[in-house]
Amino acid sequence: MTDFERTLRTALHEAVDGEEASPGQLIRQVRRRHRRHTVLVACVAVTIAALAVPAAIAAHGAVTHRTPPTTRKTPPGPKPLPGALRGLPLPAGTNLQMLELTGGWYSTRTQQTVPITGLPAPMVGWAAYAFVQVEGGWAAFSTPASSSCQTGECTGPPQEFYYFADSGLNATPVGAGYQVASASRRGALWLVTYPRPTDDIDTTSAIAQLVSTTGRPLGPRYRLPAGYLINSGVGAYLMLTGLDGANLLWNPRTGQTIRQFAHVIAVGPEQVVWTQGCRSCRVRILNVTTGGSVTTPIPGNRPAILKTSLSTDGTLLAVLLERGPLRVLDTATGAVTLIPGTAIRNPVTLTFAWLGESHRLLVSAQANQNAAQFGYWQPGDTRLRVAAGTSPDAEALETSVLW
Amino acid sequence: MRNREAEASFEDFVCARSSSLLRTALLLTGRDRADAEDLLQIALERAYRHWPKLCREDEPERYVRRILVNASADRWRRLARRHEQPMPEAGTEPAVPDGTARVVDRQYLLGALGQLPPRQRAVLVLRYFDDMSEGETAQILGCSLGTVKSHAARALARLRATATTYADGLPAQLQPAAAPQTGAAVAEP
Repeated sequence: MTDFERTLRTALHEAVDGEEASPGQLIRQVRRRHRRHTVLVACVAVTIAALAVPAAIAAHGAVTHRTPPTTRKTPPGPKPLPGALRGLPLPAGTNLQMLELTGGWYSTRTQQTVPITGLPAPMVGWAAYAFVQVEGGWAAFSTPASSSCQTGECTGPPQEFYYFADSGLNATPVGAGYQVASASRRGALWLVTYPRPTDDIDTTSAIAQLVSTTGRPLGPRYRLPAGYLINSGVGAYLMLTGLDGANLLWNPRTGQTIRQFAHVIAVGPEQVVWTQGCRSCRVRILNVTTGGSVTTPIPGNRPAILKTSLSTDGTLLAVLLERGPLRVLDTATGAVTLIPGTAIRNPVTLTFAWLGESHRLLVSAQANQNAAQFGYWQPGDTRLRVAAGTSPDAEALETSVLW
Repeated sequence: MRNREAEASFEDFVCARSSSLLRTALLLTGRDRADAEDLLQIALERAYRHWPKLCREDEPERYVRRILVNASADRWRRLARRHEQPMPEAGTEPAVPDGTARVVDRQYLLGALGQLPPRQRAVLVLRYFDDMSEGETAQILGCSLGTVKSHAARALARLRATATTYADGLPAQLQPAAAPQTGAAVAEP
C-alpha cells in the first residue's frame, strides 16, 4: 500500500467516524418500506406476476364443459428434477396466444406477434406495459422504470389505463388513476384515484369507482379506508389490502369491514382463498355469497406457495409450490389434482394462467432467453400437452432477481 | 410469512452492523446523512425480503453490502439525470489552521469521492474503508479481479489529479508529493 493509499484510508475513516445509526428507528423504517413494497406488489398487480403470466386463447375455442378433478395422493418428486416440461405433443393446428409485455398477442403457431392498437407508446424512460386481468379481458398501463416519487410515499401523477378483451386487438381508454382492479362482474372494473399526486398513500383515503371498460361510471365513488387499496372485487364486497399487509373484506355501500384475513392467496368473483400463514396451516376457501368454506390439503405457509391462478369463475385454483408439480384445486370441494410433467428444476420460470373464461390452464416455462415451452392442461387430461417454441420476448418472461 | 427466528435474526443484524453499514453508505453517496440513511434503508429492505434465505448463507453482511453497492449505483444513475452539483470551493479554510480545517477537509474528500463514477467510488470505499481484499471487492461488485484493479488505479489517479488541482484545499496528508524537476531551466532574460 502506498503512502497515498494509506492516507486515503485514514481520511476515509476520519470522515465518517463517529457516525452512528439508530437501529430501532432503522428497523421500523425498513419494515414500513417493506409493507409498502408488499402492498404495491400485491395490489397493483397481481399484474406483475404478469411479467410472465400468459393470458390467452386457443384457436379451437375455450373448453366450457368441466370434468370433476380427481384426487390423488402426492407422490414424491423425482430427483433430480427435469429442466423442462414433459407431456404429450400439442394437437396439430393448435394455436395458443400469449400476451406480451410489449403490448401484443404472440401466436405459438406463427411465432409472430400482432400488436394491440390503441395503446399509446410507452413514455420515454418508462418500461413496457403491465396487465391486470379483469373479467373478460385485460387492463393495461405503462409500467414506470422507477417510482416517480423518490421516497415512495406519494402517489405520483395518475396513470392512464386501457382495456382490451381476451385476444382483442383494440384497446380503449378507461381513465386515469392510481390503480385498476378486477370487479366481480363482466364489463366492469374498479378505478382507484387519489385527490392529489402528492398525497401520502399511508394516510390518504383513495377513491374507488366502478367503471365500464370504456370508462363510463357505473356507480358512486367510494372513499376507501386510509392506507388501503383494492385487491379485487368479490361478490358484493371489495377485498382491500393495506400497507401493513392486512386484508379486509369490506362493504363499500356501508363502509363496514365484514371480515379480516391473515394471508390472502387469491380472490375470485365470489371466493377468497387464504391461509393463516403458518407452516402447519392449510389453504382455506370461503365463498362470500353462500358462506360455505372448505379446507384443502395444500400447505398454506407463504414461502411454500410460489404462484397461483384462479379461473375466471373462481372454481379452479392452480397452485405452484416450492417443489412438486402444479396442483389444481377445486374451490368448492377442496379436491386437489396434480398435473404430471410440471415438476421442473427451476419452478420460478414456470408461468400459468386460465384461458379466458374456460377451464383450460395454459402453462409456459422458460428454458433460456430464447427457448420456451408452451402447453395446456384441462380437467380430465392425464398428461400435459406441450410444445417447444421460441420466446416471444425474453424480458417478458424474465423472473425477478434477488438484487 | 416470516418466522420469529428470522425476524429476531434481522433485528440482531441491524443492531450489530447498521452503524458500519451507514458509514459505508455515507461514503458511497458522497452526500449528506439523509441520503445515506435512505440508501441503507433501501438495501436493508431488499435484504429483508429474502432474509430467511440470507440467514441460511454464511455471511449475510456480504450480501447486504453487495445490495448496498448496487443500490448506490442505481441511485446515482437516477441522480445523474439531475443538475450537477459543484465541488466544494478549495482554499476557504482560515490561513491559520484551527479545529475546523479537518472538518472542511472531510467534506472536501466526500465531495471528491462524489465526483468519481459509482463503480470507482465503490471500489475505493470497499478497499480502503471496509478493508476488503481485491478478491472480496470483486465478489461484492460481481466483476473480475482485473476490473477491480483497473477501477482502483483510475480512481486513485483521478483523486491524485484532483489533489493537484485543489492542493490547497486537501487534507495535508493527501497533498501530492512535489514532482521532481525534469524540465530544462529557463534562463532569465
